[in-house]
Amino acid sequence: MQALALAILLFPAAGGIFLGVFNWRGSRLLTAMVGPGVIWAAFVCVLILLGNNVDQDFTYWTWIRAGSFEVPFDILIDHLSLFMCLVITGVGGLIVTYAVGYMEHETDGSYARFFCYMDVFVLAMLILVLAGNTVFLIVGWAGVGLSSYLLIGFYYWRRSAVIAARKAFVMNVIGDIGMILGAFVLFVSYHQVVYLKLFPALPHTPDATTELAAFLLLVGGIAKSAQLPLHTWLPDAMEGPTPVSALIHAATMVTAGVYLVARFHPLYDATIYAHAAVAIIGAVTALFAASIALVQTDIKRVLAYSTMSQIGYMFLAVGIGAYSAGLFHLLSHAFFKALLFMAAGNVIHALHDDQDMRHYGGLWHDMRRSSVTFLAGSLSLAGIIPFVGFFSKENVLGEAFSRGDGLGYAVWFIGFVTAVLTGFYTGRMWWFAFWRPASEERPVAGHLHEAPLVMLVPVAVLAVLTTVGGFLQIKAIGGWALVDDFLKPVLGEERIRTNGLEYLATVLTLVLAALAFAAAYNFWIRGTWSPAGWRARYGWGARVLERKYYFDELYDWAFVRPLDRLAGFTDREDRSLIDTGAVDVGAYTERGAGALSLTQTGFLRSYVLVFVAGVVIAAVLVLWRASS
Amino acid sequence: MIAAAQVTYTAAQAWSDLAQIGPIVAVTVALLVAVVVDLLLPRGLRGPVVTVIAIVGLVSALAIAAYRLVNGYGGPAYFRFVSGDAFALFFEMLFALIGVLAVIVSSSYVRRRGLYEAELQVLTLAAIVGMMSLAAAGSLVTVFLGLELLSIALYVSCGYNRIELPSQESAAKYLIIGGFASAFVLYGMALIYGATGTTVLSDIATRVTSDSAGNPLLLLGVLLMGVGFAFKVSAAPFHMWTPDVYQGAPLPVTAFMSVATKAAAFAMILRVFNYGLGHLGPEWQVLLAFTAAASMVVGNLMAIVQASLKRMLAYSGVAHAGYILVGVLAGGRAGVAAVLFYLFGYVFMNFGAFAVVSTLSGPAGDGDLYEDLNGLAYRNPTLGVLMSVFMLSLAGFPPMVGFFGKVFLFTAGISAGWTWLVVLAVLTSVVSVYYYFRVLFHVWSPLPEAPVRFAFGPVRGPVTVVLLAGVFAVALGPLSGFLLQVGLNGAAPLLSGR
Amino acid sequence: MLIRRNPLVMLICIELMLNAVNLTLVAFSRQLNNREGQLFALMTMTVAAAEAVVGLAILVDIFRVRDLEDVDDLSELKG
Repeated sequence: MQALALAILLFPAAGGIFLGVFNWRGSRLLTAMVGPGVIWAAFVCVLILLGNNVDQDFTYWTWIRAGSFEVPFDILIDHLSLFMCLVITGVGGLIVTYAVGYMEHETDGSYARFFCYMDVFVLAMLILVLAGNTVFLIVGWAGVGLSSYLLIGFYYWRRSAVIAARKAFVMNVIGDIGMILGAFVLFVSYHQVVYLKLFPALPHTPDATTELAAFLLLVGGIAKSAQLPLHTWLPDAMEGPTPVSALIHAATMVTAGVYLVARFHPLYDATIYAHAAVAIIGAVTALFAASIALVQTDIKRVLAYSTMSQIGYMFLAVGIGAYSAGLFHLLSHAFFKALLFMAAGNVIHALHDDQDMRHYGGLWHDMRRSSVTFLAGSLSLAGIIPFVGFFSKENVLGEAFSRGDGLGYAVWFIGFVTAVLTGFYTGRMWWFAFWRPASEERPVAGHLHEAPLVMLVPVAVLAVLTTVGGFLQIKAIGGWALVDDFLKPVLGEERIRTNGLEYLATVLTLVLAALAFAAAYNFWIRGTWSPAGWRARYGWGARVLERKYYFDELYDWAFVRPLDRLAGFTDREDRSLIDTGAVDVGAYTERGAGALSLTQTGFLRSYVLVFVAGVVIAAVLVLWRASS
Repeated sequence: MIAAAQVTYTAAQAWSDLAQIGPIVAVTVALLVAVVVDLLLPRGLRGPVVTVIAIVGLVSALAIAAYRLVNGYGGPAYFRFVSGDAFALFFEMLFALIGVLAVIVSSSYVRRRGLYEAELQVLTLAAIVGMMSLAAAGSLVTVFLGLELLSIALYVSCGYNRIELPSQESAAKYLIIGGFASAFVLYGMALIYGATGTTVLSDIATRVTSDSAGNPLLLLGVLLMGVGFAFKVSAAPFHMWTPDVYQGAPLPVTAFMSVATKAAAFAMILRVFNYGLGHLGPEWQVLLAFTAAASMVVGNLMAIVQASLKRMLAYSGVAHAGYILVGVLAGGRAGVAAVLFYLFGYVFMNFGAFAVVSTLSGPAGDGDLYEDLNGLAYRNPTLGVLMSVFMLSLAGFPPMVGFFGKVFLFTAGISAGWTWLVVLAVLTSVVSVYYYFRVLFHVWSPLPEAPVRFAFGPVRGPVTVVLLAGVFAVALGPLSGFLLQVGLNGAAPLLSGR
Repeated sequence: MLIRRNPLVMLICIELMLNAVNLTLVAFSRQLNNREGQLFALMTMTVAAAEAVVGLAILVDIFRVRDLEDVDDLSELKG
């Protein structure tokens, strides 16, 4: 079993190395076999471990031993990490398989490069969830950031892709700092890095240290999960090829924050403020992102904002202590969001990479199979019974409602409003892009080609999972709770519902979300209400939403510009600290020879002058020190 | 003390003293033999033979140092003017290793650039003798001699490409500013001598107590020496020479200088400040804290805007000097060990990066622009992957050695109360990720359409070196526990004397 | 040194600085009645001579290629 646990990591690692080093001009077929193959192999390993009911911390060797600083290389196999591994390798495997078809137009080199990045990404994600200590967790955490940078910047010749990649990276590095500092605080306070030794050492009553550590870790979680206020990278990350977006969003990267809070639940249980902050950030992000999704016209961006919103639900759940509800929603979201992205990918593929929904229409007619699967995903996202999204969302909101305190009711209410908005924007997406007659601006005339089988099968699998996956846990209608039971050894008991009021709330949410979904029909198909009319009446609101509450502008003003000036970049158009090479480096440097760089005149005398100035400063400091 | 020498100096004592400086002797012998051989042999044979002699000398120095370290033979020699303790042996091994790498890289480089080979190797050996003397120094006189020996050898090496203006300019600038800084160091030493009446470091350590803090001679001495030392480690604001000299000098010289000079200068700082003037801590710490902070900020910001890899690495070197100074400031066993650890790791990652760049140079010149790296990962996968390893390590990504080095430095810094400096260091190292990743980006971008400006010549030598350095940089990550133990061992002599 | 532009004069200035050190060393040696300072001074002189030789050689090398009368001409490397 020890070797098998390691094999989960070794398979994607071997795949990544093979594709990166040996196969950069090898055969396409081999690439298409190895890329998804290694992930399925890891999936099988996870299944075997699961079948043998392994629950153990495997230590392979001691990495560093220096005094009290001891870091083992260990893999923690428990139900939580197995659960995450199932999602990552299972859904991830489907996505990589789908990519075999989607990326077929790339050149051979790019093709191998893409699957190499994908395998590395999955590897980093698996390291993140399998890590048995905080140092190793950071390795995975940083690795995920790096590989997502590579994936988003995959089309490196597109300027916007490069900038988006950089943005994602910067946001992630901010998170990494939080993570590292948080782990550092935990180590300094409790002298442990291994989870199984660290968690028992934590106090059960709140104190400043645990609050600080929990907040710092939360910074990492927020950045990786694109929660407020570090969310701006996610929509821009749509620059990557579609399966990438699907992978990044649904299966893995953005759920890392949820996993983090669940993994560190002994820490969060011991805190008051940090724990509540998780719930509040989640709830506010859910509403915030759902409102922006109302006005986006790029289908991938709508999906991106809906992802933020759904991750917000998960944060909400783990923030109120309903860990397994949060993870159930994570699973359910992995199903339906991957489904939505891949079905949308089929459409985008057929429409020659056009992502603007205003140019769509008529898809129900032309691409029936993709449309049906997209509908299943949409209904699930909107939370309509009996799709998986209904059960998981209900689970989250029910837990919030039955918590019975101010925080619980507050986040429940926000979640409720968000659910209604979700119904509406999902309806808009569905009716507007798929149902209505073909737009005249559609880039491809005539009949559209349905996607090839290699792309349809993963979508179909996910569609089935989306439809029946809810029956894993049907607490909403008083049945069993398989996910809760599975995760109980790690996360503890869930609360039991106490009164009938929650069921009323559930029904209310369901009905209103369904009505909102239907109401979208009146807007975009029947034209009973006109979107243009509403826009005219509430123009300022639409503008705020379209500019995404001006977050980009705010960050630009507050951070990017001043830093630009500092480093001597005055060029407005190039709002970045470095140029990753998309433009001519030579020309760039000529422009970028900035203020600081001007001091480096090349004149020997000025160097001596600076030297002497340094001596004077040093002298003043030494004298000041000596006299004080 | 000198009077006593005439009475007690016996042949047995002479042999034991000679053994204490065994590694230095080995390199010196190789140097002398190389000079003579160079004169005797016909032109075509000179280069290869001298290179072999240099490697033999360096490897035997390495072996002697390792043997003495393992057996714990170290001790003072020559009336405590020199010491063969674990600290000295640690650095002697380090310099011998760098020397071997440098000799191999330069041998291939000078051939590709059509320069004379033998003299460069001789100069490298001379510089290494100087560096080893610095690390082994037990008195200010030895410190000064070692410092000048290494500096003068490097002045000449920088101007080695005699017909090219950048090389000449680099040498002239280095010489004039270096001489200026040396004069500062020397005056500082003279003042310390005046205040204490001795140049032997262990005597200074006992005579300078915390009470002598008010002595103006000492204060001025510390100030002048500190400035000169900061110059040698290329810490801001005394760093202005670094990028120009690095850019102009031939690539192997730059590579050698960037790691070896820095290590030697840190050995000198640790010897003189942490050991000799340990009781004046508050006075020199304020000076070094200022330069450390300035280095981290200036180095990282300036590195962002560079187009030349050499200049970028020069500024990154300034920044790293800042990080290492944090460990020097922290002092104590943990701090010194962290410095030794970091220097060891830094040597391989930085030298490796320069060695990769050096493979790009041909008869036409050095290919040191970012664009010259385009598609490296596909042109030569080994170099591409290793360059990525070096960059990740320099950026401090786990599980590379650079990460552990930073962890140790910063942990030592925090436990010694330099929290603000560590916070600054962490923030600036985040900035540094940008320019290191820019390199990665070019390495992994697809092959350029246009013909490559610098194709690969016969580069087996450098590739070996890069491989070696890469293996070290990667392997040291998992082995960091062991290396830290070696560092702790090396730090011990500096602390026991007090 | 700060105000001189001729590289030769700058070199001479460095030698002057080193000579100042020598005087200091010898003076301390005399005052403390300790011969270490004199030894140090002798070493310094040797080193100063070597440095001067190398410095002159480098400058001569530059003069051979171009006419250099102002150190500010040495500013090809910058940025």
